[in-house]
Amino acid sequence: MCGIIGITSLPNNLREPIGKVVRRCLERLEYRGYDSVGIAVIKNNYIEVRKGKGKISEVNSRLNFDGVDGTTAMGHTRWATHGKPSDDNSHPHTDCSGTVAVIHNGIISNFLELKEELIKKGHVFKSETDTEIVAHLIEEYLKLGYRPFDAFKAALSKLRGAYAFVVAIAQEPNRLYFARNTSPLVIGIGNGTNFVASDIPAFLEYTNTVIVLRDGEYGYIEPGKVYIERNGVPINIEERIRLISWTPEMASKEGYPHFMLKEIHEQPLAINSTLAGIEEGAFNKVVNAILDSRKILIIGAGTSYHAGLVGDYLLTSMLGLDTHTLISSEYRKYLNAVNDGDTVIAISQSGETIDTLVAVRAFKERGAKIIAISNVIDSAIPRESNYVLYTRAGPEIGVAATKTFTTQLTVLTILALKIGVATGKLTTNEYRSAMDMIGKIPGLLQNVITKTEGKVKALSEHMSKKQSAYYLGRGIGVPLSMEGALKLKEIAYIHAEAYPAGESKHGPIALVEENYPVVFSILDDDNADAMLGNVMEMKARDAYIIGLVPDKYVGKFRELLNVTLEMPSIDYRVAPVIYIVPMQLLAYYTAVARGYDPDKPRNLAKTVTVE
Amino acid sequence: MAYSREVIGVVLGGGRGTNMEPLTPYLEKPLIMVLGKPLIYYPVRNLAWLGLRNIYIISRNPLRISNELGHYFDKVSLESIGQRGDDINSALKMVNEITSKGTTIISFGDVVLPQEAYELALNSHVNSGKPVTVLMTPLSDLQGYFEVQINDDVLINKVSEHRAGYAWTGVLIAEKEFLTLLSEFNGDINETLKRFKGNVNTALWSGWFVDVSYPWDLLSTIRYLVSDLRETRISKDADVSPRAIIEGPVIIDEGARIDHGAIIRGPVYIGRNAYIGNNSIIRNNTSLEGEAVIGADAEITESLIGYRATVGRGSFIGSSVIGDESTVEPGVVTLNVLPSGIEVSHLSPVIVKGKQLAKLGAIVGPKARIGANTVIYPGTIIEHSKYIQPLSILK
Repeated sequence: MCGIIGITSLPNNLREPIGKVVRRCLERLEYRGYDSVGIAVIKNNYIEVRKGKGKISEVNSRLNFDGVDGTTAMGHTRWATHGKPSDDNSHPHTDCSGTVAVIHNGIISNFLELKEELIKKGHVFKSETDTEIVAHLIEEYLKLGYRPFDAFKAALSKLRGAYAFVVAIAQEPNRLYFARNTSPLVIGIGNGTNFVASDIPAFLEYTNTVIVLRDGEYGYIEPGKVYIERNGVPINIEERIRLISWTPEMASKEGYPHFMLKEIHEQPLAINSTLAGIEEGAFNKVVNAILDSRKILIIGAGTSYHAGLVGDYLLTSMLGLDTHTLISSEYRKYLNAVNDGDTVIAISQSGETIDTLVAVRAFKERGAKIIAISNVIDSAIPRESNYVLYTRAGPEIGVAATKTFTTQLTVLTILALKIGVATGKLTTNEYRSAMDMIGKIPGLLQNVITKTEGKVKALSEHMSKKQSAYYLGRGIGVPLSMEGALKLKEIAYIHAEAYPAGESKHGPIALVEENYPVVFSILDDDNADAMLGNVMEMKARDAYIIGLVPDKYVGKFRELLNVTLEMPSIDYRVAPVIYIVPMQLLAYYTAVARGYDPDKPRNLAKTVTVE
Repeated sequence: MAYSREVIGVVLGGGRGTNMEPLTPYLEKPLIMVLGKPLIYYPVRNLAWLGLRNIYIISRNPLRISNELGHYFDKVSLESIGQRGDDINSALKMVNEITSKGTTIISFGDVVLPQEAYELALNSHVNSGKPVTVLMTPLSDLQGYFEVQINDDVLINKVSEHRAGYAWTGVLIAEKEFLTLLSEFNGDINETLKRFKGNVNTALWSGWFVDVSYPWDLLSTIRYLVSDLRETRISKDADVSPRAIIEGPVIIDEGARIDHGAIIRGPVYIGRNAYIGNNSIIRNNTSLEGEAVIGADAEITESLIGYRATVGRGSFIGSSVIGDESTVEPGVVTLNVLPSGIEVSHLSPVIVKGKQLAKLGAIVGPKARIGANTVIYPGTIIEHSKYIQPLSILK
């Protein structure tokens, strides 16, 4: 995801330099991406580009966007998908001559073949991005004598994928071309100044007259003109103009009231893209590194720590590896226990978590090999690690981790399975059937959301009046419960604790009284019967029991439970990815019922987040 | 008008309201008063808060509706139109004739939502660039609701199956092309949605939502509406005894009189010229409509007391709806915990011995009279204008 903005204005129509206007619009788009930023302004016969890696405020102080003046400009704030965040990979991208500039949000799926063709024709590429080919493609058509609009259209017809573009061509200094296919794009019509942007709030400070583009539409803006067409047929602009009389601050949430709910619902998609983005080569290297090591340490903080515990459970119980998981800030305990030939798996969504980074450096110094699992390409921890596995969950704006947790679990589970088959602990058939199951997770997850969301919302009304709750599980259900409890704590501000279910009678049960909420994660594993005993213990104390139960055991448990959330009966090794979702929803809806904003829990911040 | 850049609102207030019959012999469902305002005020208010300047209301009684609503909205041009035909489809078919070329927000007159839900829907619609947006909400029990199916196509079905899923909140935002087709298909929303396969946007609302179709839904409506109250507002024309106790957010409208020793424990609404007698207690989530009279020593909780209704001294009214101009004589007791086995999803639940039970008292039609010292069992419905002998036991 990236944010884009284009502005064309009559001379002296804006009260400040156009670069400053672009920068201000970009700040409102920062939620869409924040690893690098750039602007381009059309000058006489060439396009001036200033761009670099970093947050908008940092890059602005380095490159002085605010000082750039002109009448036609564009800006881009990036979230890396193809090519790491770097000065070269930042947008805008230009062609060989520097007279065509492009900014882009989305993915061009056929860019490799197009790139090869263009290289054969002598084009020189400066970046690793898919975007740059668009500039060269347009340059190619311009060389063939096409007029700029025709060159733009011809280039569009070559592209496949999901995209929104803005293109500047120096020979038409008052015009910006645009196109939308799947990725959002809106036009803002001002008095002598027109805008094109990823969303309305970007330019709302300047105009509230908008046209929302639909898929397949393209055209151009000039200071006093907007032209749109679709399949060569012009669109009646008048009919499409809307006045925005309310504050569209939620536009970026795509139909959800909070980022957290959006991100919970995005999980099937996020896991799909994590699966699609798996690089066998990187995995093989990591598997080999782990096979060569004596001891494995997994480190992480918060939710990443819980993901680590799930990975730990698989590596230890399924494969018998010597694995220890620790909270990053407690790394000193293991400092003397780690040597050459040990491996540390460092899990961090942002790749910048300072506690984890400090631990990574300390263990690295002791000679350990570091494997990073991160969601942010080329962030600090991946850079300082020997190997990297990326979860491709996209940017997570909600402070409570949701989709990054499930994608971390996906990566860890695949890693465990691959190690299993490499060591012979798993047969090829077992491996294949487990991998098939992982492929089905996005679909199963979607079903679980649809089936449980209504029930969970009703349950949250009850939960919202409670002061305290227990989350209990056994085996792989223990870290799962810990994560469920953390979610309730951090956004609904209800005290929640997780225990191994077998441990509850050794103390914690003393707190249980009538209507005390207890959430049981019951998996389809060897612990199901023991869990039945634990549920009965709680029943005997009149607790309010919520159970996540595989459908094949529903008959056995339903009578004992106040609320039954039916889960698919699947291999316990892949189940955590699905089981956590109703618990995320419970925390979310409970927070909403209590009148809190789940996106902004008090006292908490993400390591890298928009301000 | 050649074209309109504006967003237009249409509120559908013409449903028969069959399930509301005990309360609606004299006035239609959209005009039932809750917190001093007719039900249909709430969707219109939400549209007005979005900045919409043209709002149309389609109903069976356009004159009465425009009389009731006219004075609340001075910046909005409200137009009240008579509905042709009986069902929701005929109303939906009419929407196309009303609207010009802009975007239209269609809203059910009997669904109460907070304003944020409307903002969310409109933002999502504008941002999606699609011709139609359906606002939906997850529910644990879809019985009686329009279910939204979003597998391959977005469809809206009325289902009676008990299962968790997504319900249509009665808010739909459409561009002209959708409305034109909707009218061609005689208001059949599913047929029209099918034509827009893959081009329908959905927005998910996670906060509260009440579809008022049964009398007891009014109780949830009050509960949610007063949950938004943050502070106490007492009209300067109200007469509140210095010895009355007022706790928590309470609205007391002009002319209301609170006598010595009364306790008002919010959130509570007390309508214009209502009277609350000595030492009575008005507990949370209660709405007393205009000119209602509560006798001394009475207790009211989680109830709607209609316009000009009277509750006699020493009565207890819990989780009940007392219709307009009806009289509850002294000493009447409503029992309000339903026995187990009764569906609880739409009713506010209580926990009794670890079991979740629904709370519902009596539904008393307008102009009824309940004799002194009567005991009314949970869930009893008393028809309008009916007279109940003193000392009755109503099961």
